[in-house]
Amino acid sequence: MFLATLASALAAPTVDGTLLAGARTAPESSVQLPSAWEGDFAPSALVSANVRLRLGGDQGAWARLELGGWGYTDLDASVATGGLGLGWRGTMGQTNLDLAGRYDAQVFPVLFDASNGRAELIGSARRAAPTWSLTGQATGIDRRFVGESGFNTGELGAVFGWSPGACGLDVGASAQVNAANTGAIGLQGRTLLRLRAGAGSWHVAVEHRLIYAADGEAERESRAAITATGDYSDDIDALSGGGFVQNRVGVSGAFNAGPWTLSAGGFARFRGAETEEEAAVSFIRTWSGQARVERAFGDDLDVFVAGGAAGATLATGTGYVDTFGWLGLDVRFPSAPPRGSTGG
Amino acid sequence: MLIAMAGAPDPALVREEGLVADAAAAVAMARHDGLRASRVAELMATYRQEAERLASMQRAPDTATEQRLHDAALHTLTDATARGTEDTAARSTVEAWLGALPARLDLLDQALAAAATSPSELAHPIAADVESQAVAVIVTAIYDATRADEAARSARTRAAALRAESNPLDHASLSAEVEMRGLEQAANSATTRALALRTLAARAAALRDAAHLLSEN
Repeated sequence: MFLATLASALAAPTVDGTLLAGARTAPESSVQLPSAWEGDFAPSALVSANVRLRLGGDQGAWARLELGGWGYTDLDASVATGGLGLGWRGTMGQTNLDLAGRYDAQVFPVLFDASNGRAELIGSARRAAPTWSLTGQATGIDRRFVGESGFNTGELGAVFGWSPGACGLDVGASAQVNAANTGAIGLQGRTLLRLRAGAGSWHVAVEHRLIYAADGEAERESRAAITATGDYSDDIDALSGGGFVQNRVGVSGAFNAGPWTLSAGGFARFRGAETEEEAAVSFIRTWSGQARVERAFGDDLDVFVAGGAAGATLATGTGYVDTFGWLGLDVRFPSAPPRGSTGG
Repeated sequence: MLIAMAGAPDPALVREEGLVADAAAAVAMARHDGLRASRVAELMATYRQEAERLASMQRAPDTATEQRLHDAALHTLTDATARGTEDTAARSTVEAWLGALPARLDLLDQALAAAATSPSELAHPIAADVESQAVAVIVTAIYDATRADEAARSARTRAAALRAESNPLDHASLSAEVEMRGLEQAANSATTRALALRTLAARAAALRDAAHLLSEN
């Protein structure tokens, strides 16, 4: 049966690519350690190309192979990326199941020590009725930097969703255990509260996430603690760092009118460190806000303009703001299923 | 019995029902394609005009109760298509009457083929009934296609909102990637379904025209 689903997946490959050009004011914020911040990040022009091969349909096995890169006039932040994702979606009775794994590699040719590999595995089971859903999920992450640091995390949680009409509510809780390369073990309790509303042409969500972290130790100069813009944003929360309480608020939304889609979102983290040592190397505030306007030209081409800003502040007051903006296009080969009977 | 032998539909009424269905579909397409509000309003006015003309032609007092229910359900679906709204009760009524649309269309095809080789006194009422039911299939298929388009649009918009949660320079989490993948697949499935339904509606329109020719000759 697995071979049959794999064979059907391989029979329907699609390729899509993204090209963009623009600028950032602080691209080095992605690769510098907090202790190296001098507060004078240089702006840089950028170009980026990404191509993705996707296999698989609605159910059964799927795969994604991705290759790409970001090139900056300030070469330090330039990075080549590669990723492989594999997954399976199926049902057992009335429960939807997802198993997925992903490995992503980032190679920084100039600042090679920032190069890293990251593996993530998830397994989830979702039972849904017309007005409610219950999802249980297990997640594991392993991240390793070249000759430097790394961490592992495991998380087990559940989310209950209630959607009586156009509005909905998600409530979730999870427990996470993390281990730094120093051997320190940390624990976290996490909660999620999300309000969402939407109809055919618009969707809006507002959410709050709380992390109560205990144990572990301050991972001074650990890249795992400073993953910033250009990386896996949520990895900032991976390690318990001796303990902290963090509130994260986010908002996101999208509006569609014919070929036009406007989307925007943002989040802010507020962290209270429990130890002075942890506070010295920890972000106490991180935030990001972005907007994108895209226009579909037919079924296989979107042109978009995106812009935004992100920033972080250490307990010492050191921080940065990275603004960015670009013009880009998404292309699909071969022709994707039409998005409407008349296209864009 | 599939084709009513008695009380065959009034051809003028059936033609008007077809015009109303076409007008409603035009409004739905304009809304789906994001045309200007003034253009949508213009098409909506045309739809209302046709719907009012149809209402003035309908002969409610002497129509059988079941037929009245069907007519009312079709009218509701046509109106829902034009307004971009959903009406599950009307759709259920039509479902109980027509059953699966492809099977019903096959049946109507066979009935019209039989009518073509029948004496005219038999052929005319059969053709009129086929024409009437073909219009019902068109109305229902366009309504279903519009709902499928809306489901696809909703899934794509939700995926865009999900993507907007994180900085575009970041990698989304794997669970977000899986959720976005599910939404994109759902959107593609709904779009494929909408296309199939519009193809079915086009087939029903061809059958309606053929039945109309036969009923007039």
